[in-house]
Amino acid sequence: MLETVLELESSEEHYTAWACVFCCFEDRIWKLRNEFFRWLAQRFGMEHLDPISIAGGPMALAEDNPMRKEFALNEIEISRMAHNTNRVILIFHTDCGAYKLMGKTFNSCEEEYRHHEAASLRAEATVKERFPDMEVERYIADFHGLHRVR
Amino acid sequence: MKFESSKEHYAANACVVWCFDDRFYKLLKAFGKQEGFAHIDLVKIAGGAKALAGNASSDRDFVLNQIKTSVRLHGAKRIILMLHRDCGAYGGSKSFADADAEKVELSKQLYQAQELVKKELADVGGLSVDIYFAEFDGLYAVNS
Repeated sequence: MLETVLELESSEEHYTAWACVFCCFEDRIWKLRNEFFRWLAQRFGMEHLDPISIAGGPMALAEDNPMRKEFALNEIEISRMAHNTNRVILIFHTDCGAYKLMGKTFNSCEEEYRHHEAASLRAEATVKERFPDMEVERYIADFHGLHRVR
Repeated sequence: MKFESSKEHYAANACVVWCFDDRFYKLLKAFGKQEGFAHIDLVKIAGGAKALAGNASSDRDFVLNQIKTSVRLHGAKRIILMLHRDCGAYGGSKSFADADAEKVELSKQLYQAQELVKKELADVGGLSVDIYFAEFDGLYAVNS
């Protein structure tokens, strides 16, 4: 039995996603993420995204765990097939609880940034190996902003 | 981009498993506002709760682990599972005989997902698992 919780009209129109975005489900970086999306809309006319939020975000693409890696790659595949996505955005963030649960700690901010930078490169390589034509952008979020990794 | 975010750790009002289909973004936003959520852990993945309804699989374990992570890190006591009309992860509405068949099948899958999460997190006191079906005209709670 279905009970109405709220009434709201949503568009049935299918869309093309400007990017598939991997970001952690951590609520503390949510406002930053939304601000970034607004900037993408203003700067590039982005209308739709496929935001994938899981614990650790793109960490799953950088690890050696085949189950987690395959899950994340399948998300990209569905985004590509359903919404013609040709770009993947990877957002790592500092003070991530998912790393702590794995027992990974950092002795300094510099060490943490270096770790995320290296992980973002591994994640990009994972994406490129499966989807060679996919454009990949890498970012690190901290409590003061969002930084592009080049 | 400069932007100040809070460093304060939080307790999540809910762990929400929702599909990444952008057409239902506004519905999620309105639902969160209606429920008065201050913080949620949003597990946004293709198909929402789809993987939780299937047989044992690595995808099912992955999504279960996301929920367990939310419970461990942010003490979520309410789990919200969502499936929606015309989901690309199911091949869209055309994969079902008609609109009613789609609603009946997805409601059935939501029950399965709910049972699984309740069973897997039976040791978490005070946990509730709520299931919702999203339509293009609104959000519906699935009740037995």
